[in-house]
Amino acid sequence: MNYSEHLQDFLDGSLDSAGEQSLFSELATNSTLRAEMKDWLAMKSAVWSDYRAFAPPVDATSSVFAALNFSAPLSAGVGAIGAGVATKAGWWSSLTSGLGASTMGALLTKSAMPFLLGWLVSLAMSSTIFALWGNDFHILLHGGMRTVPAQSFVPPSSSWQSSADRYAPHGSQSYPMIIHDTLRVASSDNAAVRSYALPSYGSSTQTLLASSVGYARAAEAYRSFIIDSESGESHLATTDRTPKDHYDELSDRITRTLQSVRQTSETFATKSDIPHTPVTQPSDMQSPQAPTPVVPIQTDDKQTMSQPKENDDQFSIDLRGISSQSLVTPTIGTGTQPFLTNGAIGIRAKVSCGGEVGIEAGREAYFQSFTIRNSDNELFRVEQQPVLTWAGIAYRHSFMPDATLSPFVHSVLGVTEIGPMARGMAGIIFRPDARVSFILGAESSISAFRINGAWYTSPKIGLSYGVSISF
Amino acid sequence: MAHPSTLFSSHTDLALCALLRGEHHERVQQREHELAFQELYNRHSPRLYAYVLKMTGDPQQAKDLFQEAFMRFYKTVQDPEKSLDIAMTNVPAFLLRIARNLHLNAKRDAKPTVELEDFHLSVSSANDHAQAELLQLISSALELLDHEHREAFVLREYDGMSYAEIAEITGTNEATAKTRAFRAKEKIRKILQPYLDDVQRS
Repeated sequence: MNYSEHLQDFLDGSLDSAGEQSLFSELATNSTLRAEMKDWLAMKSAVWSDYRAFAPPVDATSSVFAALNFSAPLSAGVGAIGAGVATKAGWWSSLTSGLGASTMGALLTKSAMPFLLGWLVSLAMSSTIFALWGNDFHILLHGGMRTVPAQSFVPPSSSWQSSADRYAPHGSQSYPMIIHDTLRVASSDNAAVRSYALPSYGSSTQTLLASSVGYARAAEAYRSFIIDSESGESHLATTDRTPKDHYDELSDRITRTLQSVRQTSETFATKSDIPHTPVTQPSDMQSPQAPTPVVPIQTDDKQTMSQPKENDDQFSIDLRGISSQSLVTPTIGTGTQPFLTNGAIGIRAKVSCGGEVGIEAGREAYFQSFTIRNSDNELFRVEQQPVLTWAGIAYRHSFMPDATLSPFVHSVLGVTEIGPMARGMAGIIFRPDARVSFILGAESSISAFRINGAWYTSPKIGLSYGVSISF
Repeated sequence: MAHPSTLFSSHTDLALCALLRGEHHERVQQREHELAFQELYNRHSPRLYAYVLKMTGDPQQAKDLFQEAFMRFYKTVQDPEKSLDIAMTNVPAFLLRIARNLHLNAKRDAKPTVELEDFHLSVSSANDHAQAELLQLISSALELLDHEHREAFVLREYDGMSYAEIAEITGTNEATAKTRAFRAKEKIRKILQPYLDDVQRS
């Protein structure tokens, strides 16, 4: 059997599962074939890095258009930037919702901190989300505007790089990416990215994708479990993973990647008929008689796909304590100490990704200072610190709803027993579990009340801490 | 309002060719005409340029062939005698076929020779010396291949064409195209073997 041809077919993404199993079994024991595979990975990587071969010189482009009496093509950069902005639905949603929540808190509490903190966190997150999204594998975006492919080949450092180049993370991806209408392939050991326009959906797109997937699988296979005869021993002590583990992981990753591609890219789903054959596990890979230890080649790649916390719960209830101080120093103590003084309980429903709306109620001591006149028209200054019950509509926005640690903003608009009240909070949510989370944040609130026709306010600021249960 | 460069991004090649010819409108606006061509150019120029560059090994000749190929393509599309359905079903293959014929004609007429050191090299970055070196060697090895094998390699590895498309462009059958591509790869690897062995050892 000619395994070289098998290897080429595998790299092309066209080897069937039986052939793949046979090839992988041979690779596990045949160092010559492994060397050949390594050679081909290096050569393909080099060819794919030759992006300048795909960039027609500017003067050639100008000549073509001038000869046809056409105006020179517009700079793709502007359009691409526009595309990047226009397609950032998640970005906009995150920004506006974060901005909304933080603005509400700020307006109601006259405190700039929730606003600034919430908005800045939102902005920072939004600005980087495209650079970080899908950090393990690939990003799959399908925008309404497209990147001009001729300029997708320019190096990332070029001043006329497209938005896709900027948003596409380089370095850690080893699977095909579809950004706007451009298929991009990067390998983890090669910072260069090869891009293809997804043009009029001819068979070449399928060929490219199949070939890209083939390359990615081969590269992954090589990195994951093919023995490096020289480095094998040194890595042996660092892992006890078997070839089966690597097979399972590889198969799982490939399957999920292709599922994502199919789900996300309409082009792929409707135009491609590339068959995906799951990586099959050769039975002899676990044989104790394996001639050489099989260890993974250590790379900087993340070996696992980030696992978002699965939490489909729609409601959450939380209980939190408030340790706050009046911004006006009180000279008297709190009159009573009822249950849940300086605490709150709330229930919220999920309304968007990261957004929750609900009701919240609590009790808190508010220092009040105001003046009154008695019947003799003498002016008296009155100070008191009653414990007031309050309730209101609450909105909370978590900027990374699936992450273990996430910044959030929280605002409440409601009333106390004597007047309107508003609260704003910004802090961190810690989610050790899908259902349980803890919060810690800076909170400010203001209560207003009216005495003899005059309005007075009681501002407070402090810390809030609590626990939330989702159900 | 959509950016002009994205106006026709969802159009198929055939639809763009029809716009270019002015079939779907009685009077196609000049701007639409230009944008349709621009869209086709953006889609297919990288592949075409890669082909002519790697086949000629000479940036200047590649540029000439590249321009001429697009000019002929435009004229063909404009020619009412030609059927769009036949000619434009696969625009990249059609463009590559034009470029191929131009290249073969140029070779027949002038028999240009390219010194290896003059071969156009394009590498990702200067700091990736190993990859740059390998890329240079691959380009040099390509120069040592005969026309058929080099063409099969370029169309397959650089242009991402399927074997069926390679067969269509080169006027052979699919099996021949696949065999040529395989042989080309084998030859290149054989040429580069001393270097690759050295890399493996290091």
